[in-house]
Amino acid sequence: MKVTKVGRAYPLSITQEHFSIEGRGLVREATLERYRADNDFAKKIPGEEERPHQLPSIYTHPPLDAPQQWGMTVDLNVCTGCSACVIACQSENNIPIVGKLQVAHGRAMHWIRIDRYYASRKPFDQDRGDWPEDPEIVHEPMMCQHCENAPCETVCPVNATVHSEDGLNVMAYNRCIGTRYCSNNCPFKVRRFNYFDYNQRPVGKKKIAGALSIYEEYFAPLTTKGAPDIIKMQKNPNVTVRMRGVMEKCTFCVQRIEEAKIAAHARAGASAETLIPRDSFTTACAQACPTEAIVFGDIKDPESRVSKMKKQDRNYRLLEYLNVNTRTSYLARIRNPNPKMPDAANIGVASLEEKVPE
Amino acid sequence: MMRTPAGHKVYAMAAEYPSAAALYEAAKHVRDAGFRRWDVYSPFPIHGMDEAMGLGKSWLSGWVLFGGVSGLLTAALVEFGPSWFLYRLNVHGKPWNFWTVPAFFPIMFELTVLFGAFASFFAMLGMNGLPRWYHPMFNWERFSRVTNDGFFLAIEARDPRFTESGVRELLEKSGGQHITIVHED
Repeated sequence: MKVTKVGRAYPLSITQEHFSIEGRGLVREATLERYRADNDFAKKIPGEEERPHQLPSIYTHPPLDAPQQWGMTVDLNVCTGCSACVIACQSENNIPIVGKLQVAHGRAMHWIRIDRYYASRKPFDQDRGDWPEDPEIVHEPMMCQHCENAPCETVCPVNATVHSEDGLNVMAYNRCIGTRYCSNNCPFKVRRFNYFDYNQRPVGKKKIAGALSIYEEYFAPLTTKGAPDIIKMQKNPNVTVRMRGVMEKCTFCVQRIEEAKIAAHARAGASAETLIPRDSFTTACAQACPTEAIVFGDIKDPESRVSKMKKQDRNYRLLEYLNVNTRTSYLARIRNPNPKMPDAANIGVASLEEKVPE
Repeated sequence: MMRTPAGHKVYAMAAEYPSAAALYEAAKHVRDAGFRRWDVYSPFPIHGMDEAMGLGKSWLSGWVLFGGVSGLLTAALVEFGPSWFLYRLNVHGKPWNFWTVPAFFPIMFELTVLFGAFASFFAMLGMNGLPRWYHPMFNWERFSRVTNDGFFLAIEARDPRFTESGVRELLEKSGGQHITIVHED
């Protein structure tokens, strides 16, 4: 193989450009040795152990008092980063495809993204052009964490995103006026905005306008509106097709929850047995996950799969020190590197990264 | 209601003065005579004239305070009403009681400023008798010099101390020239 310098640049569209987890304990992992020495390592990773884990709140929170409360776990141990959840979510929830240019502009609309971080024993600082050497790659599916105290809700001037009593952070698309404040205030950056009418207008194609060639989405009102029938038939009829100017994000597949609820009520008839049977349905991402890394269910039911997952010692929640009280939690990754391999020292070190190097 | 011989309503009795200094002195005379409804007109602002005329503090600020307070109360009503009683929503896990008030500060501040600004604007118009299409002083042809080199003083007929002879005497004594009755329509 030969590599030659061609003297020109070619733009690549990627969704994750950040290298470091900035000491925020997003991905927590350890070698088997460390895990055996301290089973609870995930709960006291560096940078967070000095903070109280459940911060006192000055508020009395409104009750989340529905009989079933929804939650999710992602087991990083078995997640292979295959992105099947991303595609499953995209087809389940009618998420538009935005084209390469818009992805390059940071306008990708997948509700789940696979975060990719670099970990190495040598500290590095991306901002100063200080790159990690021979890093290990760690990845983590990231979607709406359904914070019980969701920072996105407080900044919405029209209350388009509020909480339901079963713990979902729900969006009222019709109410959204597209200020994008919620997206700016989301600590997880999981809210997606429909900049152009991706579902109705042609995107990602170049159009020649005089001497310029401009992507067609920028002519949006001048282009022909409407999707071909084949695309319309591909849409999930249970999910709203959102238009331009509306914020959207992971809903925990609220359409599946409601479907199960309706079915449970129909089965119950006059009796009071209206609860959805334990683990009888799941979200699209969990259903598609080949390793069953994603588990969804009722966290109020101690016997449900998700509750059992959350009881594991590897369970941790993201940005706990913000007191956002997320409903999605992650299970830390345990690695067992062969010490004879040359990069063994770089395995399982993502959460050793204590802070951003000075 | 005083009327001119031709049957017009009388607006004021006015006089012209040769200089700003003369107008300033005349204003002191009129102030000391106890008149309330009168005004001076000059091509430029005259320093110390408000004192010479005995003008007190403007109570526009009272209207602004009223506007600001009513804005604050309106904001409190439209925010606490729905989120406390009418339509409770779980937003950011914030409580359904008084302690959710920090979230309401921006609207409270904005409505206070908005209502205060509206109050100051409309109260200013009201207190100045604006908008008006025409001023009776323009019925006096000499008055057109007021934007050039004329200095005028007019005592309005609605002043309780207004009598034709008394005012004419006062204006003459204070050095006024071309003393005349200005009619209203």
